[in-house]
Amino acid sequence: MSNLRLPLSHDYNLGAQAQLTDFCGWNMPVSYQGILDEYKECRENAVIFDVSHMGRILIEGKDALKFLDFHTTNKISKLKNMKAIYTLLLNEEAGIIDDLIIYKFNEAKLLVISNAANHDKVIANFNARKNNQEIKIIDLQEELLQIAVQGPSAKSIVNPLLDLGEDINYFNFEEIDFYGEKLIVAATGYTGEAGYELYASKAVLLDIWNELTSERGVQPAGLGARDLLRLEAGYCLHGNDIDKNSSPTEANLGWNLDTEKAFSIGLEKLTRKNKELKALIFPKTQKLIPRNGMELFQGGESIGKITSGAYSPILDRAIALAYLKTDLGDEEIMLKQRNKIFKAKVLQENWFYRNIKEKMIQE
Amino acid sequence: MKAYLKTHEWIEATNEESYELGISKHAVEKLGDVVFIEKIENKDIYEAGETLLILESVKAVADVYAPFKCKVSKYNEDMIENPESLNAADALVHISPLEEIRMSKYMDESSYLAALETT
Repeated sequence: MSNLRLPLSHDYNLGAQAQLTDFCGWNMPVSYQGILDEYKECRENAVIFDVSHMGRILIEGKDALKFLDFHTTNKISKLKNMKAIYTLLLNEEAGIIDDLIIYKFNEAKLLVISNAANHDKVIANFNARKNNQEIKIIDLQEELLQIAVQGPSAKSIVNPLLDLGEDINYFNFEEIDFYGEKLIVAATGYTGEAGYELYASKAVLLDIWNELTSERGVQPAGLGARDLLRLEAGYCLHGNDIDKNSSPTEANLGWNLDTEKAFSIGLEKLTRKNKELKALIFPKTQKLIPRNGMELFQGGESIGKITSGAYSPILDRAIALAYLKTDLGDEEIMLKQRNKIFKAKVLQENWFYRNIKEKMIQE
Repeated sequence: MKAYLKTHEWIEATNEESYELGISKHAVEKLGDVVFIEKIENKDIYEAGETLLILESVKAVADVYAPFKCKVSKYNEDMIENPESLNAADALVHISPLEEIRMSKYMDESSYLAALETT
């Protein structure tokens, strides 16, 4: 594992005997106390994630806003300063190269967060599309690190530490002075809970990591819990649920398309729909965890595949995202595994957690 | 005394006709959170190497194999219904052998642990 890049919490992780894995070339923690313990702590209290592995790319210069507006799908031009937005970077066929969070400082300075696996690809794409526009594309992955504190108590734990008078609202961010160093505090995340993502130098974030874990009782959580939390919240994982072969419409991410703006890809491709990403639940009695790649059937015919699946603790049953054919019949959807048939129900909405929980579990 | 298989099960004789079968501490730790334990439906007799039970953990799915041709005499229903209670000390299932058993085929604990080191 000697060639792996190390996240900022690596020494802590070794001391805590975290279970580590090679994730996109990073030696990342999968879990500390156990995936379900960490999951529960995040849903009920607060946890801290080291997300050093995420891509962080600064776009600076006169044309920065215009550039990102033209090359990603959402309404970047209408974004106010110090606000964040979720958006998609597409290839010429409207396939998703990556899904991004963009933080707008001002028209000439925006921070782009990419997935770890796509960091190099996104930078290469930006460079290829730059032409003669006045922008600089700066890879900040090494100097600007990232951690996330997530959970219903996250803000009330972090606010006093950072001297924040009040909560920062969802998808807003601030740049504050923290003992003479710059710290970006953003109310974003990947868990379906409230909380912050913090961006600063390694030294600053390590101080905060140590303070929160050692002095303020915040449990660290690994990639295992993060994956479960994001799936329950209905957030796509690039590489599983979305990729270069899925259009935004197929991925049910059409709400991130600004169809009124001049955009580098035509509407016809953007709204292509040969398949559809859907949320599935399985009855409580079915002892199966659906996993990536498992095939689904309806009336003996193959209708699609699972892209992500898990046991949902909050619903106490298996859940999944899957690409399905668009012209489904009314018959039951089935998954065959180990010579057994498991039945799944398609949900109206692509998430499992929170507001539709009560409605959806009525069988 | 417990005897181990390289597929991480342990067996221990309770008498000549019955063995307890469980999984090793290493396997319990590797699996992490187990959320479902599933029996094989409509099946009485298992050949050596056939799946006896399926463990679905948050991370992966793992089979528990029959060490020899056997019949299940009793399941640990408590553990099967409460997968979070899965541990290495208690048996998952009691099996009765349907063939002659050579205990020399299996490892004692120290050989099992040594074998883990080398894999």
